[in-house]
Amino acid sequence: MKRSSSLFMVLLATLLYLCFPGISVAVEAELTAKNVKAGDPITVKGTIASGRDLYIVICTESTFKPSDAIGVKERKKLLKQFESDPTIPPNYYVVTNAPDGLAVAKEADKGQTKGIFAFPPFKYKVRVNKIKKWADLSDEAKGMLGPVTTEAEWNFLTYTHENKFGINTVSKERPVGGGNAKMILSDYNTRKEAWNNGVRVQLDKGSGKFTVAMVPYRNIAPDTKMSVYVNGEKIDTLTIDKSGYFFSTGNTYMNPLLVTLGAFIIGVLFVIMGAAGGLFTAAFQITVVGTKGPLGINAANTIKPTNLFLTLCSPITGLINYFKENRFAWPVAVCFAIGIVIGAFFLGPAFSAKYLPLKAYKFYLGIVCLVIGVKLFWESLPGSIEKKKAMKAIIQKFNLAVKEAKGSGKAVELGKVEFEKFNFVRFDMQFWGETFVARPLVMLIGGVIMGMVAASFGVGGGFMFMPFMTTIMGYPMYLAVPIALAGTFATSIGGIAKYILMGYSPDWMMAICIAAGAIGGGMVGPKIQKKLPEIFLKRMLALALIIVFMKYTQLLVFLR
Amino acid sequence: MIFLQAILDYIVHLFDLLFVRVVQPFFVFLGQVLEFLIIAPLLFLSVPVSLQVVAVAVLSGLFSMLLRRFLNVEKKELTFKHAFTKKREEQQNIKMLSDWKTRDVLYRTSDNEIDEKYNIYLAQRFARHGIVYLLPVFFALFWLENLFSPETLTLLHGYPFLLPLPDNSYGIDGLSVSFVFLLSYVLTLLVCFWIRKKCKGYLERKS
Repeated sequence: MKRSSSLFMVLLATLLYLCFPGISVAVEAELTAKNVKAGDPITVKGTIASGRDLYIVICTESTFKPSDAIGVKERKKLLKQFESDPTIPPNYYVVTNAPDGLAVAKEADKGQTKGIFAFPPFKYKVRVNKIKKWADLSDEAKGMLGPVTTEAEWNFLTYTHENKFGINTVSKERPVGGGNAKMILSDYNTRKEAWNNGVRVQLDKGSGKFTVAMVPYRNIAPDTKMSVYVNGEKIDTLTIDKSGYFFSTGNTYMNPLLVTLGAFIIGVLFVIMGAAGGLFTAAFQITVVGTKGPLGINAANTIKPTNLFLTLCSPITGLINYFKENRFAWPVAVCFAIGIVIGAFFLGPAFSAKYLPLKAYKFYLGIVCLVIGVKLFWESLPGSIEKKKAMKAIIQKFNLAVKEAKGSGKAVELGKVEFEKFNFVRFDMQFWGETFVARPLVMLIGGVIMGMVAASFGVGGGFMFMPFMTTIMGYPMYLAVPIALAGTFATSIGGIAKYILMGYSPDWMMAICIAAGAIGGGMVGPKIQKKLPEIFLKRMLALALIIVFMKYTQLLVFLR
Repeated sequence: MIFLQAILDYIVHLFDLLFVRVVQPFFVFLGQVLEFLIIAPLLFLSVPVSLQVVAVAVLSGLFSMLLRRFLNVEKKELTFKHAFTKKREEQQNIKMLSDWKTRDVLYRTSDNEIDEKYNIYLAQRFARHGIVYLLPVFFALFWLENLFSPETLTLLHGYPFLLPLPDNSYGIDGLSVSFVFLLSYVLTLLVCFWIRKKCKGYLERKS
């Protein structure tokens, strides 16, 4: 009786295995460490049934679904694409000796795959590990995916590892070589692909003994719990320990003192260049600090408000004085500022949050860097330097004239704007003894467009305002400078208010570090400026900006 | 290359030590003191969270005004203006020179000097305003973000905002801690400047 029941059990187990190969049989495994420092490898050792393939899933224990997204625009976009609101672990890896069942290594189009720049070199081919569709997975593989059990969950997971918006909003891991984020991994020695770098899979199929090591995303928040599944069976949980200071909103590890030091250098550069501080801090946040933003918020929507706060400080210093000195030609200044507030508050942040996620943001920021780089190189030419000096002299003389007029009590009289009849399209006005053509409507429209662009990029916008007023409107520098400064102030205020109302908060600690560094750099910059070779520095900066352009538009293969 | 990497790693390690051993403990201690002095009494009085944020904003505004005074912002501005006017007057004297070549050289040198001084003044003014306004605001917001994180607010009220708003086309769900703080901070500064102006006017009239 006893013998026959044993035989029955063996037959039943064999039958079950043949009918349901996904069911795990005899899995024994353990983690070499229960606490792993962020960025360090996780090692799993153990035994599985002999002859079987190995599937190890390492994923965060906490889960995320589209309706959890904090960002309003992100929530809308994700829910529109994934109506069933599937739940997935935001960081998810499958390490296996049989990756072909889950993904296929192939060449795919990346970069600008649609839109006006969808042509080479902006659109390029890169080798990716293309995740297979749910229907193409074998039944065995489907049973080995740990917490992921449905097609909707698999599709959402694929989206958060293959689509740049999904990556920058949910999984946050830097795509390998400009392609996809890591998800299906295998032994690097067996499959020498970039995404397998640092992955070790040793499996003796005969005995079922295995050792697996892999490094998960290095910016996983401290105290995050990660589950480990071996062939579909949960074997243990580990905790991620912090690796240095963690910027909770920026979602990245970095020493704040290093951020401050970097911002100090930017502050010095800002003084030398006299513009583009916002652009430099944006590039600094993206490339050096690696700001990722919280889970459910696209990285760009954390970078932009942080930047706008920093651009706020520069205009407030000069603005009050210009007001006191009657330096605002109000018929043009008011229209321009209203336009900018409309653009920066009502249009820019909403447009940006929806249409400028990190991928597009970086690309267009790269284009802006190219424009400024070329402009900077142009300014380093001898003719431009002389012209700039002459311009500076004119402004300085005007500033002195204002001071004298103020001293003698004539400022109020001279600073008065005089005109016969206000016309929204065009009229002549007198200001500081000169006659100008005021075009309030053009200023308003220009303000709306430029305010929108500046707030979309999270920059002050000075690099657009000045050429607009001096070249298109034909205003002299002493009229244009105060209006441009008011414009920068309006962009910062309008943009900040809207971003914060929309729930996009800056990383305050990062803002502290950048502000402190920039202040220091701003103080030291002018003192060392004269000792530095200006033309050489300007050209080096121009070169740096062009390299940034090439990096952000992914023209340089080795920088992707 | 390996040598350079080793040096870089060593520098980063030094920075890490400095931050972990000195900077971080100092700010943690400061945060605890502030929590004990400001938040604990308000909690004891059962003051709602939104009013606690307003209170911190008002105190930050007053701190900024104190910093303004401590850094002698007005005095420094006035000193620069005096120095600037003096330089300008000196420049005017150059005009009296009869030799045009000397006059031109001296005028250019003086112009460059003024230019340099003005640049330094602008940068220092940026720094002063950054220290007075930007840094206190960022520090206060960082502190508040840790005290009243969206998770804490959800536990307290059931929503991650200070004040929820009805459904609207702008997609704004509610007023955040940052928004209420910034609004209260700006209003505090405006009130302080208004009071100062009134007091100055009153003192001038009296004298």
